[in-house]
Amino acid sequence: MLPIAAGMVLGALVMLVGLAQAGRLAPQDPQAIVALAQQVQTVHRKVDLLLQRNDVEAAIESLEDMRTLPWPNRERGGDLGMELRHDIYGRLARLRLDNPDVDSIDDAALLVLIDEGLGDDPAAVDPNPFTARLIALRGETFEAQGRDDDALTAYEQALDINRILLERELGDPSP
Amino acid sequence: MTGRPTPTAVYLETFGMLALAVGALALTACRKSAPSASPSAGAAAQYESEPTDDFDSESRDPDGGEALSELESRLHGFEDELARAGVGGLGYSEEAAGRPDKVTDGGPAQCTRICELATAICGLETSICELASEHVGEARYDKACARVRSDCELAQEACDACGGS
Repeated sequence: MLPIAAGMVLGALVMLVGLAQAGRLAPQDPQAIVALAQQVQTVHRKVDLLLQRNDVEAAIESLEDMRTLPWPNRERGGDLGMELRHDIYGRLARLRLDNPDVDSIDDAALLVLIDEGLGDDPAAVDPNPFTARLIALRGETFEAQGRDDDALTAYEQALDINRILLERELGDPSP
Repeated sequence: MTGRPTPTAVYLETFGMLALAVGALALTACRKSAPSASPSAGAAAQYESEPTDDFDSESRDPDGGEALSELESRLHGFEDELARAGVGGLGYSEEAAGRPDKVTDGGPAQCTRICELATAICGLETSICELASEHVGEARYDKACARVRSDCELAQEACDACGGS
């Protein structure tokens, strides 16, 4: 009985990942995305606990460990895979920006981190709050480097995504 | 950032709940029809070889009807949650169908999303307009600040209109 139930639940999960992707680029391997989403959720919970204990260094370390994952590209992981990646990298970048004295890295390294998270073509990803946040954090990093024009470009890109999301929520038919 | 509900959690929790409900529903339906219906020969054979006494007694009644309707009801509830989370429906309930990210349910979840977007947009207003204040007279910065200020007002109005804060 247990294997059948487990199989049904797994099948339902995989099916739901497919449903979640309606209107977006679907992952080639939905089971891998389910596993990745579970891992991301686990790390978020761990980071929440570490931050409750004011252990920012361990929280950053946990998120840094996620950088070593073989993150799927958009073709393989679909838009959901990219959103998960932007979610994790966004939280890591936010923590680093807010805690510059903890396990410090310079702005150039932080920019490398953010660009690594964004991947090759973040503009292709279906608009979502995680990509918007990570691009805005890129703007903050540019600003810290004194690159105001680049910062403004990044802020405007993040604003464009958020505007689309708001229009969708308000029922505006525009894209 | 700390302790915020992540969309990952929303996805997984709603997926998990719905998946469990789907699985339980399937099991209940399978049990009810196992002697005659076997969509998967291997699974059906294994199912039929299992003793029935160990089946979850809390989720069934003598004929299975009550448990089935209860599970269907829960499934509809989970599906509505998924719809509010921006995930397309299974088609069990009409109101749950629709395009992801285009949910206009008008409920508290949508209001929360609108207000979170307002927070993000107004945060960008602060960043952009502070930059503009350091680039006085530069048209690009001035235009960007005016634009994001307007967007922030619109988003905040939408948040206020739905009862958010």
